[in-house]
Amino acid sequence: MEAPPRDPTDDAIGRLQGARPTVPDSQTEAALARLRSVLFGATPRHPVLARYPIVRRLGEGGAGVVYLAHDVELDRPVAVKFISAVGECASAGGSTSRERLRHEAEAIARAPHPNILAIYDVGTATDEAGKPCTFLVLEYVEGADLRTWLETDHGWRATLEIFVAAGRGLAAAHAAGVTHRDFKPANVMVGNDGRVRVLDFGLARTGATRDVRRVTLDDAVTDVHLTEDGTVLGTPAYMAPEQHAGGLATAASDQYGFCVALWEGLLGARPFAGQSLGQLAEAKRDGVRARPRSSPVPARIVRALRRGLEPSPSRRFASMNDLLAALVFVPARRGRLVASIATCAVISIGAAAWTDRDRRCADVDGQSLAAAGGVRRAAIEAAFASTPGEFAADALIRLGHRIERFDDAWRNGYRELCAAGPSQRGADAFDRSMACLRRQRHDADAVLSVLAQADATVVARALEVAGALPDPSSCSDPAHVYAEVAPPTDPQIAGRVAELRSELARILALDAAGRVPDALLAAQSAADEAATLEYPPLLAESLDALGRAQERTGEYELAAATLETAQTLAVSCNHERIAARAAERLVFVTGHRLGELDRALHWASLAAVASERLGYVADPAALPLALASAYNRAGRLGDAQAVGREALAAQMSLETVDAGRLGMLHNNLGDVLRALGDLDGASEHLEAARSLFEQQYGPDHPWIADALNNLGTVDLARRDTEAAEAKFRRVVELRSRVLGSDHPQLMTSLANLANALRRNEKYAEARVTLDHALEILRSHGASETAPAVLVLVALGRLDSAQGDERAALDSFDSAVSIAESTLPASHPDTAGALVIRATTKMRLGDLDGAFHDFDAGIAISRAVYGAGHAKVATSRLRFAEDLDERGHAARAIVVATEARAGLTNQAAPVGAELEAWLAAHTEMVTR
Amino acid sequence: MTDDRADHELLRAWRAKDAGSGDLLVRRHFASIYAFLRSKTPEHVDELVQATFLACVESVERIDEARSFRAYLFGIARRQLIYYYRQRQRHLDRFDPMLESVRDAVGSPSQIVAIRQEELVVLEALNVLPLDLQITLELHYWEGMAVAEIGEVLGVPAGTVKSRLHRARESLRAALALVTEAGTSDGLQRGLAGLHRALQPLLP
Repeated sequence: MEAPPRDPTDDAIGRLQGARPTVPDSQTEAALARLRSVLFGATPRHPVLARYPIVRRLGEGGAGVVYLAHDVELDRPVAVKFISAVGECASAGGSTSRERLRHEAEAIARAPHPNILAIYDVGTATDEAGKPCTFLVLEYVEGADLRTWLETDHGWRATLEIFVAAGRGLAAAHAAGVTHRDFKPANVMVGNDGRVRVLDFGLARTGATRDVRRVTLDDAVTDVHLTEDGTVLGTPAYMAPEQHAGGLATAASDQYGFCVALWEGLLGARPFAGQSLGQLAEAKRDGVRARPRSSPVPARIVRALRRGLEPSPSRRFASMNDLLAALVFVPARRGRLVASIATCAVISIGAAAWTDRDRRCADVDGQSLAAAGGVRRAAIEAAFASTPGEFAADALIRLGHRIERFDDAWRNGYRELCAAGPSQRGADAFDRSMACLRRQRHDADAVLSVLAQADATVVARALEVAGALPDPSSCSDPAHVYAEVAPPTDPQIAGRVAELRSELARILALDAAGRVPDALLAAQSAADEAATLEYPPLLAESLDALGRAQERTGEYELAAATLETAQTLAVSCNHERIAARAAERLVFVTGHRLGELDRALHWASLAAVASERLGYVADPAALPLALASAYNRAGRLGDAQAVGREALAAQMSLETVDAGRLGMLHNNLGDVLRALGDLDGASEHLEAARSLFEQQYGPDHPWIADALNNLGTVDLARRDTEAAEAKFRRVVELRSRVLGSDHPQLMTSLANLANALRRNEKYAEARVTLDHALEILRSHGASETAPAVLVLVALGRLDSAQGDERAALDSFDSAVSIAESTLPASHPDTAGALVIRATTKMRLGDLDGAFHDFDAGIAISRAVYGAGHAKVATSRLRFAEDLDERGHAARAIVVATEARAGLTNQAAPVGAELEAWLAAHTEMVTR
Repeated sequence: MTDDRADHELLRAWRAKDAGSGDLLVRRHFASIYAFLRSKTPEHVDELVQATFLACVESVERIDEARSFRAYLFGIARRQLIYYYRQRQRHLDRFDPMLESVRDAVGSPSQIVAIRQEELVVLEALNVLPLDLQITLELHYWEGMAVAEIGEVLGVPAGTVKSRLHRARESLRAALALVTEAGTSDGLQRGLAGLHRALQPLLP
């Protein structure tokens, strides 16, 4: 216990050390005496639960008094249930009551399920007389009981949903061999969180023990209340005939009680009337009374209820699950996807339980990634070794560090969890953390499997793929583990779900690796399979992955539709992590890809809502990055800049700053500033991005090439074509080194370099560069169409610069035809090719053809960027300049005037340029 | 009243129903816990001290012997404090120990406690800091705890404690400068409110 040295130069710390509060001994002693008397002396008057200080009384249930308390250790509200008021343990039933409470605890512990009120703890306190007093610590749910809920008309569908959820709780209890015996609306809680929980298993008896509690007349007198129309209220109303007869209560009796309650909930009256217990029992033997004629409830449901209300248990459904299946219409496989989406609220509520309750703590070495990693490591090393270039070696070393870091963190998490054990953390928290660690271990292995099959593309993105490795420290964070939806109850389904989740981790790694077609194919079959499992949260996850893959292929509308389905489904399943994730992606797809800002803003607000409900933000940069792209696309550069700066500030204030993420934020902000004309600001951020990428990914990573590429574009905007040429040269060099010199992704870089060379009038080298690009294009066919368009446009520009407009036209024709036949309908590259071809046609004297192309190009630009975007105005201005140069001054002024009129943001740099151009030219004309 | 047997030995004896060992263990740590809670909530210190030790008694079977018993006690005391502040603030579940300070929750308790002017100034400055930063400083500089042990109290890794300690020192410096400058209590109130706002962006 070393005393920290006092640093004389550090005045604040010196003052702090000198100011340790002094408490007078007399005060301390008196307080200590009070504490010792509490701890070791006289027993306190009432059992005070130090771990669960009582906040207020919630009410009295059939089996005891319930208080709202706060679990100081796990820092959450809980419900504490005593047999009677605090301090009166001994007088209220004594050991029989305690026995009953123990039974309740055991019954619930045997059937953990989201639709059963969870039990956290059973404790014993001592009352005034020194008698033991058992209490239960239960999950605290804010909400109303089902009886209260039914007082308002919610419509039959919503009512059925709630009941089916409760029914799943009963079914889970039955599966665990527990019968509730006292099912009624008052014993079901409808939480404000939408979750339905069955409670009060106080009357339940486990197994086939013959029940001693016969319904006698005495019971009936205390329990039965008569209403005006003579219907019986209270427990006997929900009892099965065999219970009236004092017989053995079984799962079929619960089914009966459930059907009585559901009949009442759906049809507004009980199925049986009776003035006394005897009449009631008789009515039940006679069978169900007629249903009200005007009810909208489908006959199918009423039929199912009648069967559940058969007087003879053997004529009812074989199980609760069979009854629920009859109540919830499950269509044939064809319509499965839509059906399960529509019924998610029902199924997800019922689907989950922390069945992963394997609490064995094995040797950590046998469990960790390294155990299985030997084979994987050899495969990864082999894959990297077969990739040319020094980059692969550096990437492999960095990758090794990342994997090691994951493995260390995972082992620490596992060791700490096992050292603490279920008793210290709380069984529920322990199970969740353990499930989290197990899942991460599988996810990590799936990520490594992608790396083991690395080709040059994957090697280039190896560190981003490694970024798909999960963060084991989140498994010990209650905010994370409690935000997860529970796995399905059925162990077989749970097994399939776990497998599919690993597959989803692999798909995300494929996506990060740039293996788009593989990711798409795998995501499609994962979604298909998820749709056949009765576990919609997984379907939401699969659709999220599928939507991402679709976006990569350029199918933006399809991607948006898929992600919207994923998001809606996730929300209805309370799967907030996926709800937030899908909404964030939708901001990017609708805002940036589809250019629909309003839609993007809508999703941004839903993303924020989901994050709020989730309780933590997985990736604080994701939403701002997407939002800034959306604003950028809409031409709202000011907003894009504001969001970008905000995101940057937020990222920098994080405890552990992710240099890669930070670099990306700098990179995007730099790009926005370039568009705004703030070239100094742009270089500053792009340089920051470059150095962060270098720090994070090493000096040769492709992202450095990305940042350099953007810096080169800034140089071009500054008309510093020499600097641009140097940067583009370096980009080509970096990318060839990583990808090999005949990789399709090299084409764009070669086109950029050729454009810079052309502007520096190094025509010969520009042509060599483009020949290289064309070589790649020929060897890879038309598989990479977007870069092909850029290469052909660059070639045409070069021809044009060298005075060969005919050759230029040929190149532009090829560019336009590839663009029109393969790119999505409104693609900016198509617009660019059309507009440039217009200029060449004009120069060749084909003015009509020129205007035709120009109008078509501008129409696309307007669709892509918005009519008032600066890019549209810039294209028009360039065309006007060309027109003017070729002697079409009047038409040039018309085009330039249109450009000025259409420009939304007059402050954009092109606005001033237009003003100047128009001022100079209209003056000339009027003169 | 020194007893050289280690905390964990006492704990084991206590578990074996030796109340004397329990008493010894309580007496051994009482003064630190008492002073710790008193500087933050002088009027309810008895309640909180009792709740802290009662919680310890209740879970005596479950205390991890591999870890510091003192850190365990301070950890409970901290959770009792947070719970208490939430009650005070009447918006349950809102008090966040990395964002909110003693001052947010209960105003200015230290004036009742401090005897010397200098102590008052330092306590004022500490109470402006978010609770977990305040605790980090107190445990390190007053209780002589190492970062790993503080981590056990706060339930965070040692690395996080290190960075928090750094941030806490910076914040304390700023707070002290302001408290010293503000002098009179009126100016102090205003200044602290402003400082607290100014510190917010530094927090995670």
